Amino acid sequence: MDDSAKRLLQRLMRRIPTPTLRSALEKWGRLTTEQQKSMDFTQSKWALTERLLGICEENELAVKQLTDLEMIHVIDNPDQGMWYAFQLMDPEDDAKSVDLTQFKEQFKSHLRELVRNVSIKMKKHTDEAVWIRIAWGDTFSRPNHLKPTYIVHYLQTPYVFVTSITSKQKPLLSQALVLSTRYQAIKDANLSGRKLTAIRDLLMKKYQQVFPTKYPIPPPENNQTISNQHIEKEQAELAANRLQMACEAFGGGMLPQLQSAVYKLETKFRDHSNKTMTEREEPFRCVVKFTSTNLLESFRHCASSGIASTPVTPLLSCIPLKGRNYFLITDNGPGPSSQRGQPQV
Amino acid sequence: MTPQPPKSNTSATTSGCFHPKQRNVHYSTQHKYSQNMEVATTKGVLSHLSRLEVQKRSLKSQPQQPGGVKALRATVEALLTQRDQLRAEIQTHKNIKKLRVSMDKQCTNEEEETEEGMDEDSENSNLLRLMARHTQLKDLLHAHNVVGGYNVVKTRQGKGVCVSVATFYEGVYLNTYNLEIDVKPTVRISRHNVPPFIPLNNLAEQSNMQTDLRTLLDPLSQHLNAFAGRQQQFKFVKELHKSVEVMESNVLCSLLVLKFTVPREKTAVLCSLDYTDCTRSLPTRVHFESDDEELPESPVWKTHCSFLMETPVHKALITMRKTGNIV
Repeated sequence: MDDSAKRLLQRLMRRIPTPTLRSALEKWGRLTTEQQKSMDFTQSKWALTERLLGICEENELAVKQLTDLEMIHVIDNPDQGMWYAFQLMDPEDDAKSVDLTQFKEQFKSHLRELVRNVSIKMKKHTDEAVWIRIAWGDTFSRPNHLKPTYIVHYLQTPYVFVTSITSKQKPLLSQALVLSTRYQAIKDANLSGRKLTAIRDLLMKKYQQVFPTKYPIPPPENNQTISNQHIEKEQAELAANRLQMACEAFGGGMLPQLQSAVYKLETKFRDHSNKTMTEREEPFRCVVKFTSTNLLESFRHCASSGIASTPVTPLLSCIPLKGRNYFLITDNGPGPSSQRGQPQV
Repeated sequence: MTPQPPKSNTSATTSGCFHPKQRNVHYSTQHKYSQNMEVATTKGVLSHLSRLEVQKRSLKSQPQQPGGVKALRATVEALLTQRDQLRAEIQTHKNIKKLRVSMDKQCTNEEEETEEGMDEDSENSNLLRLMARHTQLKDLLHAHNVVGGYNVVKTRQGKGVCVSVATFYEGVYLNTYNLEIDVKPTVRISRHNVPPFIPLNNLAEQSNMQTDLRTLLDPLSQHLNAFAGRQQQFKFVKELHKSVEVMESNVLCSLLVLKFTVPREKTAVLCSLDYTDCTRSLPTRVHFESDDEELPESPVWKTHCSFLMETPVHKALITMRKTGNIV
């Protein structure tokens, strides 16, 4: 096993936590049953790494097989790292009949035309997602397997999810994607997060949405002791209304776990008592960032408990509506400052 | 007192009809009389007298209408009966309207049916109630037709609607998809939970939704129901036919590649089902591939081919496995 393979394996072992290591190795299928049995998972990581190095040398495994292991781990644990969503624009007529084989061939050939020395691995997951692993090289150097880019795409949808990509690599990837999916352009969807599943569910509308119906949703089971029956009686209808509006804005049930929302303001300062600020020529720049372990859940709770006023302001409800969590807000001429999310340049 | 010309009756149902001539004579006499009065002063009395004589002669030469008075009387009778009929109809209509108002109120309030104060006897009131119910159901049916059978709810104080499109396959209700649509100032979809591989934006552009929302909803329902059907079929294939391996499919369920195993010879056959028409849940093309090149051309497999084109795939597989053609 050469140095690069050794370094890759060491890096992999650092990345993969011990509990998931066993299942990953089983799925990988490169170890014989004896070798699998010989791995003592109660030992320290360092010891395990040494043992695995030994096994790989025995089986004469190289970088190629190790990248398989890495891919297995990433596919099973997609909620790590920072994922960015992109949207393909203006499909050609044959975009909806692109099948897997065609996509694979086209993507590989287009990317190889653009980049010498690139290592591409493509795998179809059971939920119809196509996973792509790219190790980038250039004319003078071999592909760097220590910093691969991962891409996830569902055929016949316009969304692509990417992690670990540099600004130099982005246009090359964009070109290959656009050509192989038979669309005309690709743009930043202004949605990012640590959990691939969350941003995917948000864009693919895979979470429960609530719509106005004849019958409002029942309030959640409340096991708390009711302190005052009168207050409860008075507040019941108002609480039900707030809950309905909160759920219509953000969704019902489990919500996709976004971690942050960023609003970049370039508006005019409005406070008549502060002349210095209002008389400035340049726009007032300000960044408002909301963070939470589950941002949409927090917003929904704010609205349903009355902390945020209902109906929910479009500034917040457009996060799930438009499927983005980065907004640029500018003034639109005279009058009250309007909100228009513009794509990041 | 000038004789008034009788009102004209354009209805074809009355037995008597007016002779236009009679009317005109009355009218023209009136007219000529006033004319003559003017002319007489200018042209002299004698000429006036001679003109009157001419008129009298022309009147005499007119044949008397046979039984003119009788005909008129008959017409009067007919008109009277018609008037009574119309009066009765108006009264019934008023009663039905009153009943409908209370019935509609009952429907929205879901109260117990109460006896409204009807002065008629019980038979009449029952009949009226039935007639009112009939008009109510007709209106409901008409409204249902207008919205195309989709569930529609008013939102935003009448400025928007929320339409629900239900999907079902083989008698089982599946997902319901919703569209929140602004109606004012223009018809525009503001929110929906239709998945991104259904071409909703294209359908909206191609539709006439500003004037007729059904030009959007009907094609959308077609797409969604066909998708739901295909999705169910794929699900059943995976669940019920474990011996058949699913090699490829996609989120839109427009492509399915299966691997069959032929018993005895244990040859593998790759079956590709293309569903390029997204408004249908049956394939547009079925293709077999095998190492044994003659196999797809054999009559047995040709029948399988046409069978799979016409039968939902999960059902077709049941038959194919029963007849022992595949494992």
